[in-house]
Amino acid sequence: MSPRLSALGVVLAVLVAAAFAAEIADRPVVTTTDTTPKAQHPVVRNSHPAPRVQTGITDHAGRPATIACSTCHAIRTPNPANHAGTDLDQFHQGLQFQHGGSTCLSCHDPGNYDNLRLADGRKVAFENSIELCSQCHGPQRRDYDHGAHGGMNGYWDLTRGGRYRNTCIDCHDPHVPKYQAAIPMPHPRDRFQLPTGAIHE
Amino acid sequence: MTTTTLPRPSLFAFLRQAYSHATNGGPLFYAWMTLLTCVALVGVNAWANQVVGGMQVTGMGDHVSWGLYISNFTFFVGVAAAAVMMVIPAYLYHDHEMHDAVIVGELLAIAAIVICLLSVTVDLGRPDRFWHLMPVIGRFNWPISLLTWDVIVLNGYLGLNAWICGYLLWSRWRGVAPSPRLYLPFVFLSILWAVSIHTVTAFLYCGLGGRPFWNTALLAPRFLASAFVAGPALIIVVLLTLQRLGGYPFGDKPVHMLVRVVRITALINLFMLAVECFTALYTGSTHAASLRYLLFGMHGHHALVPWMWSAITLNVVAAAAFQWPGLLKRPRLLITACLMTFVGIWIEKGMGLVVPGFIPSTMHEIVEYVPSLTEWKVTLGIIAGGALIYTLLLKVALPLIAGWTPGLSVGVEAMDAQHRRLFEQLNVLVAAVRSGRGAEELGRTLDFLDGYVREHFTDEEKLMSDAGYPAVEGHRRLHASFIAELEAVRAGLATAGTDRQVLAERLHLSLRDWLLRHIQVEDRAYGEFLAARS
Amino acid sequence: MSDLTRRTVLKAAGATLGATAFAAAIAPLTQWKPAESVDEFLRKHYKELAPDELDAICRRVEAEAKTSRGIDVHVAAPQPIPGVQYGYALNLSICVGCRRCAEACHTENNHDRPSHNSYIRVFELDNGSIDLATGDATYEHPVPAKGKYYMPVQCHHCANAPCTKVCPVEATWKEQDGIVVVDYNWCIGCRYCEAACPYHARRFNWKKPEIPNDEINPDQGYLSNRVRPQGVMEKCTFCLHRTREGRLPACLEACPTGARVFGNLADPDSELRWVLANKRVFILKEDLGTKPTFFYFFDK
Repeated sequence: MSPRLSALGVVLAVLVAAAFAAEIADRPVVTTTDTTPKAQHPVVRNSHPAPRVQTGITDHAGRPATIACSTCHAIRTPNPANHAGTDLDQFHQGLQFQHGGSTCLSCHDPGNYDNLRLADGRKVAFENSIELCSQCHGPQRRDYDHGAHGGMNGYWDLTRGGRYRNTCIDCHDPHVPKYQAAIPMPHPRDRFQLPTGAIHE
Repeated sequence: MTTTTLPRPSLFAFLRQAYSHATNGGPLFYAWMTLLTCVALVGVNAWANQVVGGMQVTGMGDHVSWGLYISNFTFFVGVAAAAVMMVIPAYLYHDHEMHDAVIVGELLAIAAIVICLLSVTVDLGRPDRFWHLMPVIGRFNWPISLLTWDVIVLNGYLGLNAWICGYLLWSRWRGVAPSPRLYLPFVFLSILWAVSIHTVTAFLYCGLGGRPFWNTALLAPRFLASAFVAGPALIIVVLLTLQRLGGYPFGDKPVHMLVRVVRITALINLFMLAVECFTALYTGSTHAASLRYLLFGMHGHHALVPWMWSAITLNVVAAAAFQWPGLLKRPRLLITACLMTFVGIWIEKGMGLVVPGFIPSTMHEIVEYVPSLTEWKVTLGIIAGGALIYTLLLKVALPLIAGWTPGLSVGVEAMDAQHRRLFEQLNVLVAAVRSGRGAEELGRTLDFLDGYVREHFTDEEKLMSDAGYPAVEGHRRLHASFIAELEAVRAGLATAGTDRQVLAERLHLSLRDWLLRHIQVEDRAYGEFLAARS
Repeated sequence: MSDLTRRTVLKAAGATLGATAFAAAIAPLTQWKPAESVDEFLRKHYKELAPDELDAICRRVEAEAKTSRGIDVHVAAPQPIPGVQYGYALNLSICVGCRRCAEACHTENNHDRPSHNSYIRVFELDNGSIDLATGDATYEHPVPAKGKYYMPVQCHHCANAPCTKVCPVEATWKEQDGIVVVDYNWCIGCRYCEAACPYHARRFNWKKPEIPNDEINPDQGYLSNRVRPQGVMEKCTFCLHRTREGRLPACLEACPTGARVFGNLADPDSELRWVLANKRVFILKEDLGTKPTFFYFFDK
């Protein structure tokens, strides 16, 4: 596909997206509010907005031009059967997907790919993807709400300061959510004279 | 009758004499002291380097955080406690033949406690903060911390033994009979206290719930049993060595008594070790991990296995040897058996008890421990220092116990000289017996002693008569009865079948006791009479 | 007489030689600089210090850091917050054994660099067993490994702490808020507490800690992460220089999975209390009766 044709596609996609905008506005959008009762300082959850797709084009200022998901998806017909990158013929072919029996449309909203959607059809903004995850992963969500799942930093005492919290996708790739193995940090040495790992004898 | 109190020798004179006794000796003595001093100085130097460089120069780490120092400490607490094995018969049952030997045990207690205190001190990361451990100026966590109990009982035991020995020697020096009120209560207290020092030291370990190897009610009984093996064994070696080298006439009885003690305690100690092994190993509990590591090694780690099996072998062989009646007749074998079990207990109670408490660690990690050269230097230095102190204490005390002291002066130089000679001859007699010289030489020594006693009595009686001493007749009767007793014993010696050695030593002990008391009371009385007249 | 004189001369010579040898033996002590002033040496026990004295001491530690290392540090002595009892719970179901907590402890608490010391030791255990004997704290392969789970262990700040009981000089004690602390300037270094601790939570300064000046964490607590002297005990303080100001401990912030839950046990609405009430909680070596304020729990 030539750059010229791509640019045309982008323009078309923007137009189509605008046409759908009214419909999006009609549907209810789920948002999360912090429910910690005594909090005087906020608990701020890491925010991950809808991803933008790199076009490979730069604008006049040299910045990379990105487009929304809906730019392309608005002109393509959703296929409910797709559940892995290998099912696709044009984009996302390298996408690894190991997330139970879900399909793309289990989470992505075929009505508007700049949103996610719940099983009941309600739209969820990418920023609130935790709500989507919570449909299946209730216990984790419950633990998260009680501070027992997911990294955080800041204050234990919210009357003294606020807190930043990770959200699901900080650690779990939504397409391959299993926590990935990594080399651990070095362990303490048993005796300072000896090199790492040596057992004193 | 007017009397004048004869002057008693002063403390200064005592100290001067103690210094003289402590610093004079034969070539062997000087060689021994030089050796100990050198080893002690090597230890001091190693410790100074440890203070500067930190405890990293030891083989210890956060897994095995106590090593050779605390092992040695634990062992020598037992040695110190064992002094009561001599004190009980000597004072509780008024066994006169134990009276000379008991000081050997009590002085050993003093030296052993010094070793203990030094061993703990070198184990401190911050010896400069030692004062934090002192009541009032520091912050003494008593009664919660068992270590504060140990501080109290160890220092208390040191004080008790120092007082008892010091008071008895001081009395002997001054030539007065010690006042029972001033030492007997302390003697009885020291018996209980000896048990307490080792019980409290065991509680240091068995009070730690996180270390199942130590967390056993049998630990204190085991500590006491092994203490009453190693302590008496060492005292036997010291008594035999002193008799051989110094000619000190302790007689056979103390050694026999101690051998009887070790016969029993060595078996009890082995029995308790076996009981521990059964209880831990039969159940297969993970709590037995340390014991398994100690006896068989674990996951390819077996640094302590040779130590422990050496200890078990030494203790079993020694315990068997002690059961053999013929051992008493063979001093060399007896000394060998004593040294074997001494080393065996040292390993079992130190490296075999303190170190495996840390292996595996509380989190079941296996990090092994081997003492570093610094630790060996410091530990041997401390033991040499203790031996140095013990040698000096014995050097001061034994002449006081066995010989004539200025406190026995009757104020007449000629009589004092004869008395001194009498004491010397008594020691020569027993030295002759102990070194196994023939009957002929023994007879010659006895002949000489007999003649000398008669000569002395004649001179003394003449002196009293000339001076018009009123009690001369009574005094003469005492002399006569003593000579009669001497004759009777000589006759016994001449009779075939009598155990000459036993008889001669008894003779010696009763003779010297008699002489001592006689000089202290009757001779002093005429001395004071004469002093008042002039 | 000549023999006596000779003997005296020999004795004098021996004594001189002995004294010289002794002086030579203890000579290394002259190099010993305990890195503290006379004031510090004679300092009273921490609990006996008046607030202004404590403040002056903190300033002195700051000044010493400036003179000896040329760096600016802030040393505070935050006091327990009334009504707060600290507790910690660790989720064994989601701990991945990455040791980031141990690493965070290492840097936060100004630990000795060559030994890579940390108050946290992470054990890799076999699934299906809680037998610590199968544990390994020196793994280096990627984690989480198949068939394994991970148990970080640090000070349990026990209510019935064996370590504080055994200390002969009260150099370690439990504060009002439950944190077990060490007075680095009172500890005599006997290591009895290290023998008493069932959780291998204590560390001894076998030598002077080595940390490059530019790696020193300048945010320091007098009872917690200031650079420790040689020869004294140290341990986890729940980062009291942070937590007594309401902040989370460094190990929790470093945890990527949220396996760590820290908070006020005395607050029934705290997250910690929710965990204790709703999770399958277990206490390590509960049979020892140490009553830890550190708990482990499982999700499933």
